[in-house]
Amino acid sequence: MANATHSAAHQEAHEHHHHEESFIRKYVFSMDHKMISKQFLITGIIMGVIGMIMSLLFRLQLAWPDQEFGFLTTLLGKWAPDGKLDPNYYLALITMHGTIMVFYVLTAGLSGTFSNLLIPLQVGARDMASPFMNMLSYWFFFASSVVLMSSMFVETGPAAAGWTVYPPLSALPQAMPGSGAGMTLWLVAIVLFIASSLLGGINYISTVLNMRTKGMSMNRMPLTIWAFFFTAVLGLLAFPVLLGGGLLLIFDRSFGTSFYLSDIWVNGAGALNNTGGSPILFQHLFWFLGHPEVYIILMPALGITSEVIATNARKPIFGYTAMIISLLGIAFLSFLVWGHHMFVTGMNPFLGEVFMILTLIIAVPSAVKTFNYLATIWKGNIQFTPGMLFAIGLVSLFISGGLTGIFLGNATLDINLHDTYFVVAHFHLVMGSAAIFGMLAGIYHWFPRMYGRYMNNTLGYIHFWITFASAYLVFFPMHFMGIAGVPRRYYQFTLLPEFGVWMDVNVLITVAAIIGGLAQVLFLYNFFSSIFRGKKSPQNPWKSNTLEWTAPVERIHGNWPGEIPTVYRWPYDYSRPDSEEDFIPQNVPDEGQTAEPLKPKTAPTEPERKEVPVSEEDNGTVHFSLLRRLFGFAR
Amino acid sequence: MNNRFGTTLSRITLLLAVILLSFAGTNAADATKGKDLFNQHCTSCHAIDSKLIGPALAGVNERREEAWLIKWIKNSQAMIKAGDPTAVKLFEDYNKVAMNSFEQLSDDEIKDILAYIATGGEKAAAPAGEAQNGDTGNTVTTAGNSQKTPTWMIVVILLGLFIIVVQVFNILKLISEYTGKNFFNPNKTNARLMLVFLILGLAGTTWEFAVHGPLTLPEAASSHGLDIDLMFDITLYITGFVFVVTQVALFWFAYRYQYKKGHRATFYAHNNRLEVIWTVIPAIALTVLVLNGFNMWSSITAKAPEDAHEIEVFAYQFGWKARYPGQDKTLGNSNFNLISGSNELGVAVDSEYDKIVAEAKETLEDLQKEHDFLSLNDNPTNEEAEVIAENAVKLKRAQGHYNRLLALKGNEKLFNGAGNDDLFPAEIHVPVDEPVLMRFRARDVIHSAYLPYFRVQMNCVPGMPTQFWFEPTKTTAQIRQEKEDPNFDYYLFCAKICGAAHFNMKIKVVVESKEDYKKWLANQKTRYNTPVQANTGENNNEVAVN
Repeated sequence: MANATHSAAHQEAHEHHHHEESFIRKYVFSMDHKMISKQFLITGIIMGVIGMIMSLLFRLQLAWPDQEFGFLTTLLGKWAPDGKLDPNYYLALITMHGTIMVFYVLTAGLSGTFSNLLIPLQVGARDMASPFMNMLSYWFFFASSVVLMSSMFVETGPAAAGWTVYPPLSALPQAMPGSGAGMTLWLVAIVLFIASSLLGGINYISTVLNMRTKGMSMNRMPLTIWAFFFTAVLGLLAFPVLLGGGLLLIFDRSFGTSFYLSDIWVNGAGALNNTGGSPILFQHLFWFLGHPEVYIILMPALGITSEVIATNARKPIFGYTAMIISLLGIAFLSFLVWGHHMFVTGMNPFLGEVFMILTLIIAVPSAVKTFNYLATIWKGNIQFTPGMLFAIGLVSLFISGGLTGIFLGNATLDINLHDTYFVVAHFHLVMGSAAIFGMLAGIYHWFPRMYGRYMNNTLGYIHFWITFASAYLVFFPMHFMGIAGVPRRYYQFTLLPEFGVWMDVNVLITVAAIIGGLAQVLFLYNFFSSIFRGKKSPQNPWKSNTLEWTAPVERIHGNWPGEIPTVYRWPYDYSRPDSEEDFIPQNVPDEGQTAEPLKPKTAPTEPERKEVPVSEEDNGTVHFSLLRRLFGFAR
Repeated sequence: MNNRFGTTLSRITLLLAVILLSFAGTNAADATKGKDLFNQHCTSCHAIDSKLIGPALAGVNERREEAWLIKWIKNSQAMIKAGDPTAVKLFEDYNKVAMNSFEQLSDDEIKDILAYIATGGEKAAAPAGEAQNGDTGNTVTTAGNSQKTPTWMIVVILLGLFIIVVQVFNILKLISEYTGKNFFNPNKTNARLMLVFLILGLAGTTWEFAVHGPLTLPEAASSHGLDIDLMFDITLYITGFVFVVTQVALFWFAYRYQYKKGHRATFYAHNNRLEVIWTVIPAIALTVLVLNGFNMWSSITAKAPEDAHEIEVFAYQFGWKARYPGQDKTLGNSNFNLISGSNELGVAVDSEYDKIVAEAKETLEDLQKEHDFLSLNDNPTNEEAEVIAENAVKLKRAQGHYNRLLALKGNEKLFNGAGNDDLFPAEIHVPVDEPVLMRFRARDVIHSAYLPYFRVQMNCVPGMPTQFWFEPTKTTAQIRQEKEDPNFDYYLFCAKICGAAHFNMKIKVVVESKEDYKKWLANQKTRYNTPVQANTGENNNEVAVN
């Protein structure tokens, strides 16, 4: 295969080889994990900007429902006649905003970027297990993005049934214009997306399990890798279920089956022939992915935060084992709680009881993680890099948003809070803002690793403080709207005298959102200008311990010019009392700990395939070492 | 916060409306009736002055013939099918969203509605819509440039502020670099900002609770709702405590342990006892919450008492219909195949059955004829092929419908006569302090019946009847007094995204004393106008409709 010949070429002339790569091979159809991570990142950023602009458009509608904005007509044509959003298009915007943010930015953009960048670099591998599949993963994602965005240009508009696309609304073109061609494209996009996600996930898992460098036992992996690993496992188990659910919806829409449809009389078509299906079935299938998806989004952000906080507090992460166990607990439980999205669907109340108990249990590992972060910065020596600021911001948002989960996870309280602004506030804080903050922390922190340059710190500080303040200003007041019983996904509140009192709050939220949006312009400028004009950074700018900083800044296919460094210690030896420096990289030998003698150095030109036996040795002990790790391990 | 959308304004607008109505003179007698009908049937998709789902209705009497309007309102789909050019154009202009049929409305009733529209009754129809807009509301119609300026101004000002902030930072940095004095120490500044953010954040949270807290729902108006409120408060205290402690710790640590030259962080990697403590304490707190929630959920979702008042709430795009059992105290059966313009809920009533079978047969025959005609075309163009395909889909659907209807014939379990005396009031009325069992059905997509004041919510799922029972404890009169708002009314909203007019799907709910409730119920007329014992009234429906 292409891959095999590729690495054969490596053997011949490793140093020389990458200079001969064509432009297309290097920048477009690249199989280098570092380039693929940049592709994911930049596509993710572009999608993020689109998703954000959509949110600002519908925020304008919510704040000034009677105002006419001429530019909306210019921008959207028939979907905003007389400068006012069409109600159908309002729903299309919230649907596309949700889809883009959840899948395209916070799944692919976050996990795709940092799993790709960090897994090989932090475990000490030349590249992913299958660079070719990795490339495919990006291009499936790209195709998926294109298909999704193309739905903005069909006559009946993009999908509009909410990002959860519950049938029958999403299945019946008569029920809303968005359920016509737009919905078909949405489903195609998601199918492609799932393919991308599975290709990536398989790669991440096999790389972590099989391709760790010598000495990198599982209990020496940085928490980022643990988080990416669990995330990939979740995705691998959960996405196929959504694929199944989506395929059945495609059948119902296009081939006349009745998986989700029964006893329907719809305006414009009359009584339908479908019998025997259940709309609730789709919800079960959807949320079986949908809930793990929340953690697929959040866990990489938490992993990034662990790494950034430990590095910049110059302290070991507190309770490394507890952090892994709580990640494992969250990952496991996340498969057993999907029903909490369905307490009031008419599902058997007994199931509600079961899901309530399991849901509230998940708060325990989350609490442990929070306390461990607090303990990590306690008595630290904190460097406020922009990355660190965003990591601290994440912890704050994670607390605020996580606590309201205790309300919503309680079936009794959910009766009155379900589908209100309380839910909007909750998930935007805990998985929206928090995950975005994790992503931004990662971008600021690993920018020097990606481009060999710093991002501008001052701009980073301003970006952080405005974004942080506006995140709270936008989402905190929404809790009160929710407690007042204001339902979500309402186009305007002016026709319901009941909710008129919230008009000022809506204006406040929209103004805060616009300011927050403008702060992102600052970030975009900073990001793109720093790629070309940023201050050059040294190889290890943050004095960090992990392996990615031992690789040269120059982009080399294969990561390390010579032998891959051997790992002798865990990644969090910051401020050890017995050491002169306040950090000890993982590849520095530890006389007290390493039992095995150092093997003689091999030649720098050693082919990468030679590592495989080393990894296989490790592989044999993976299962055992996993168990050992979980039930108390010695470091 | 000053309540600028409050009662005074709506009072004034109401007064204005009343004056307007009486001034309108000869029309007014109809218009007052029309107002109720308008609010009941039209407002979820139409407003008089502005476009909602459908067009703005102001001036509709001038735009179209009255006869045309009556025909359109009764069954717009039939007109489109018949190829009326105005109807077809309207349908296409509005993204092919079909208007509901209102065959149950008589010509006179439609004329009443049109008369109401002619009075320009929007002031009364949507007082809040006008009131909330306050001073700018009246200028909306003048449109255009004068309106756009402020938005652009805001954007320009924000952008300017932005640039200024950035420049200030840059200048500070430059000065500190130039003078060599480290008076701009980013690390120190950020650490201080952490403290500032903490203080502002806590102040902001307090402000939120003080200002927006009182705007939230008052004490529940149902017995189980009071339990939910208590549970909410307990959860709020627990989480509030954790919120303050952890946020204070986070920002304080960030400030306190900022980088200091020559200082070194404490190497402190783990402490098993500490970790056990902060695993066990949340676990205990959550166990308490789970057990309470578990018990309460069990009691709320338990079987309704035998003597509960049964009400059916029917959801459709876009509105709600209520159905009460008649004197036999039993709701009639229903079937989605029986839904028609005159039987919107598909209640199994013999007279309606014959009507819908006839209708279905006619539709089927028309489509069959069209099909036969179309199949003469051996070499269709793309467009023609589309028409043929569309016809085939419709034909299949019509055949299915007709066959299913025939299969229902003589189904005595379905047509058990219980539906003949069912009542279809325009509002939901429930007695205070008595258990009420709401049964939910949906016609087309998933809706969610949400009664925030009663802490009641349940999805309405097509093909899967759901239910919720509760006991209201506060009458409408009581809540009006409590809220000091004489115009306040309970409403049932839709909480599940269901299409364009999702935001406007509501039905009024009135809680009243048992006596008033009985009186109100006795005043409701049966739609099918059949005597209680009879289920044979075949020709009676004509009388009922008019």
